[in-house]
Amino acid sequence: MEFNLQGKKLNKLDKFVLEFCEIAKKVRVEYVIVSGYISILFGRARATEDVDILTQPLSYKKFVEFWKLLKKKKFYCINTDDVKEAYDEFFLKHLPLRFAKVGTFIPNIEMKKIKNKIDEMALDERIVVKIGPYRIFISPIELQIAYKLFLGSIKDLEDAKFLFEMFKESIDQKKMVELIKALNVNKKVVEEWLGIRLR
Amino acid sequence: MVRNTIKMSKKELERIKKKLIDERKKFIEMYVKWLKSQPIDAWSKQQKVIIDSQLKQLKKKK
Repeated sequence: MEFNLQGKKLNKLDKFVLEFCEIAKKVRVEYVIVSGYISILFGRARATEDVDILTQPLSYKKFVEFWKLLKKKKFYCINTDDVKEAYDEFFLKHLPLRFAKVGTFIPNIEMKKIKNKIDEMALDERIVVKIGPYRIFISPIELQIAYKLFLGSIKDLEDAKFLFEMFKESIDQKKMVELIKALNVNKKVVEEWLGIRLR
Repeated sequence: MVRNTIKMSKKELERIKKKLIDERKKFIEMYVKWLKSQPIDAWSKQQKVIIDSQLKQLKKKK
């Protein structure tokens, strides 16, 4: 599956994300955008303070290469300015690293290494979104909907409903239901927010 | 007279919560319907104004 958002008027959040993803692309870091920004990308009119990005496991050498290019492009790491510490104490331990533009705190990218089967699936089955000359990778919509229902806050449930309403004709609903069941989402929540009765 | 507290039954609170959720769901349905009816450049132009201003507000708060 591939989405085309040609013609989208880029807001500041879009530009921030695209810049980060271009750097990842340049150093050949495989990544996937997950969570709230996906709804915003497709039209939800809400801002967010952070954008969640998962990456493949990276060698220290690759991590340093990525770090250096981020610095060159005026990003800084909020957690630490020491690359070794960032790698050993955060990245390797699956703790989030936050990157923002120099002189700012938000928005920031919350970057983590994939950790579990949900993360692995998001990265393995990532889908392309084309925006102008850019291509970015996002998590499969089916997984996003299931995961948002699983998280369960009002904001997450609204995101799930938004994505479902946007893509219900084009997604694999059977797959979505399987994921919802795998994440053990309460049947009542699914019925209330998606209007789907689970057996 | 200043009220220090309010007394409401659990049922009443649930009813209020459900009503708010129903209104939010209705809004999302209406909004998605509108989004789908618009060309990308039209909806994103409006979204840009909203998100840029929200981000500005968030930055001020920090």
